[in-house]
Amino acid sequence: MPDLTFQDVLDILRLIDSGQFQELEIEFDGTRVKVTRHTGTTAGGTGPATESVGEVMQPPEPATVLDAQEQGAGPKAGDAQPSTSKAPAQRPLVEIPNRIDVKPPMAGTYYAAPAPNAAPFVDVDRRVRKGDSLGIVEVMKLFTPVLAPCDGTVRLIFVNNEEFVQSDQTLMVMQADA
Amino acid sequence: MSFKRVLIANRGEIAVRIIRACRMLGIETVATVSDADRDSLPARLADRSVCIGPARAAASYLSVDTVVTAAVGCGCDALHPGYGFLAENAALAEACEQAGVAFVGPRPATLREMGNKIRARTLAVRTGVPVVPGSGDVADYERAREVVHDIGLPILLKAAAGGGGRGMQVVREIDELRGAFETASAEARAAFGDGTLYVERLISNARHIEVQILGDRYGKVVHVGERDCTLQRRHQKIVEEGPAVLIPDRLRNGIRQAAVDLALSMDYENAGTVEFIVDQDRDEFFFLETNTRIQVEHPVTEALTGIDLVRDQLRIAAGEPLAFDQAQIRLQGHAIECRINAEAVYDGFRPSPGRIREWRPPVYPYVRLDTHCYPGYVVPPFYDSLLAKLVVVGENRAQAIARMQRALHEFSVDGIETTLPFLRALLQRPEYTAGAVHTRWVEAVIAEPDFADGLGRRDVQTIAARQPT
Repeated sequence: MPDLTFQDVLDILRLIDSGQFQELEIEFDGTRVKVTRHTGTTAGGTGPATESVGEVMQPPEPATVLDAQEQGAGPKAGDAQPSTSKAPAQRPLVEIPNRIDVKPPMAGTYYAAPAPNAAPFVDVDRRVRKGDSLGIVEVMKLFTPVLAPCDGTVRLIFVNNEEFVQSDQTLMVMQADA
Repeated sequence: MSFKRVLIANRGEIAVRIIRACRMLGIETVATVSDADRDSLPARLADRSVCIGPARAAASYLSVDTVVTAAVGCGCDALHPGYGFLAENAALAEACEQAGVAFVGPRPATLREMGNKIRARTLAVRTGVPVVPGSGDVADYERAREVVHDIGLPILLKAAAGGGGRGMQVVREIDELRGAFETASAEARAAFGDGTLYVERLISNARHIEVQILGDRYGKVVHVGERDCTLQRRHQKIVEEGPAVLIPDRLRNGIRQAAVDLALSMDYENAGTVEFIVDQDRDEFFFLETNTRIQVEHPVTEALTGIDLVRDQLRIAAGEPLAFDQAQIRLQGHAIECRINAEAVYDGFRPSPGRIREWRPPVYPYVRLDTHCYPGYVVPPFYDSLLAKLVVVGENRAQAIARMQRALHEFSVDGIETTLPFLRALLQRPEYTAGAVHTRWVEAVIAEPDFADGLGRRDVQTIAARQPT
C-alpha cells in the first residue's frame, strides 16, 4: 500500500458521510479505495449480518501493480500475487545443467529473509551447501525452513517475499554441483 | 453507562465469543475482518463487518492505525482486542484513549509494565510474591555465567519482552550457555525487537497454575479461582482444567492470595491472569507473568462460577463497579477444556488448513463449545490453528474426565486433520487421570515411539462413535 494514512481514511469516510452518493471510488498510485454505503440498514444494527460499511481494498488485479514491477518475468511470475516488495531479479530461461527444482515443505507464506529488514537468505548465483536455508514457509504460525536439497548454485528465483506458495510450486532452480 | 457499539479487533472463536457477549448486553457489534475472513462466522454474526486489509496479519489484525480507524469510522465507543494480535499492545490502548474509544482491557501503563517480564518480576518481588530464583536482565554472556554460578544448573534463558516460548532456551551444561545465550538473544531481537534476556532456575517437575482476576476502576480486585494448564506442547496449552485440585490446599490458597496482592499493587483494571509455576518436588510456588487480557481458556472459569468474564470486561471498561464480592464467588464442580487444533499429529503436528466437510460436535447438557467453525468452512492458512474449545463440567474431576472422554469420542470432523485423535489418546493415559504430570509430560508422551503411530490417519474412532448406543 502506498502512503494512505489513518487520517486519509477518516477523511474519506467523512466525505462519504457528508454526500448523497452510494459508492465512492478513489484511485491513486495503483491503489483503489472503494467505499460503499448500504442505505437503511446501518442504523440500529438490525441489518443483514454480512454487510460491509467501509472497505479498503488492495489492488484487485495484478495487472497495474505488476506492470510496474515485472523486471524480466520468470515462468511463474504470472501467478505471482501483487506485492509491494521488489520482484526478485531473474534472467531469461536457459538450459540449466544438473537442474534441481526447489519446492516448499508445505503450502504457505514464503519469506525470503530471516527477519523483516534482514538480507535475503539467497540471491541468484549464490553458492549454497546442502541443508542451507533458502527461505522460510509459514503456515498457521508454524515456520519451516526451505532447505537446499544439494550443494550447488541458486540459478533462478521465481518467488516473491511474502507470496503464498503451493506445495508443488517451484520456488527456485538450483544447479547442483557435478 | 453502557457501550452502544463495540469494535471486535480479532477473529476466530474469540470474535464469536465477544459478539455473543455484546449481544446479550444489547450492544451493537462491528467485526473487523481481513480479506481471508470476509465470509467467516464473526462477519456473519456481527451487526456489521469491516475489512481492515489483506490476509497477512501484519497488515490487518496487527495494524494499530487500521483498527483504530475502523473503530472511529464505524462510530464505535469501545474496542475489544480479544487475545493474541494486539490484545496486550499498549500503543493500541493509548491510540484508543486518544481517539475517544474505550479499550476493553487494562490501562496502557499496566500493559507496559506487565509486558516487560523483568519489570513484572521486580513488581512481584516488591509485593512479596515469590519469583523463580534467577536474575534481572543479564547484559551479556559473562553476566549470565555469574548468575548460573549463583543459582546452579539447569536454567532457563528467557526474553524480557517475551511470550510464546520465543527467545527461550534451556541450559543444562555450562558449555551450552554461550550458544544458548546468543540464540535466545537473536530470537528475542527478531521476534520482539528487544534482545534483553533474564535467567530463571529450571523447575523440572512443574505444574502451571494461573489465577483469573477481575479488577474495577474503583480499586476492587477479586480472584475467580484458578486453572491448571500443565498439559502443554512447545509452551502452547493443550488441556486446561479447574479448580487446581492436584496441588495442596495451602499452595492453592497462597497462589490465589498472591494473585490478588499483585493485582491490587498495580490497581489492576479489567480481566487478567496471573501465572504461577508450582515446583512439585518442593511444594513451592513462584510468579511467572501476568497476562493482561482475556485468555483462551477463560471458559473453564466461567463453567465453574457461572460468571460471564467477557460481559464483566465490557462492564468494567464502561466504568461500572464489580457487581459481586469475593465471598459471593463460588466454584462448583470441576471443568476441563480441550483445544482442538487443525493439525496432523501423526505427521509432527503439521498444520492442516482447508475445507471442513463434516463438523459434528457432541451435544450434552454439560458440554460447551466455543468455535467459529461450521460444515463447509475453509480454515485459512494465515492464522493460528485453533478450531474449537471443547469444555465439559462434572461434579468432580473423575466425572469431568469421563465426560470429556465421551465428548471427544463423539466429536467428528472430516476434511481437515485435527488434534481430536491425539486428545482422546492423551486423556486416556493413566498419568493424566491420576494427575501425575508436569509441564513437559505431553512432549515426553509424544516422543514415545508407539504413541503417534497409534493415532493413525484421520478419525477411525469416530466411526464407532456414530453408531447408536
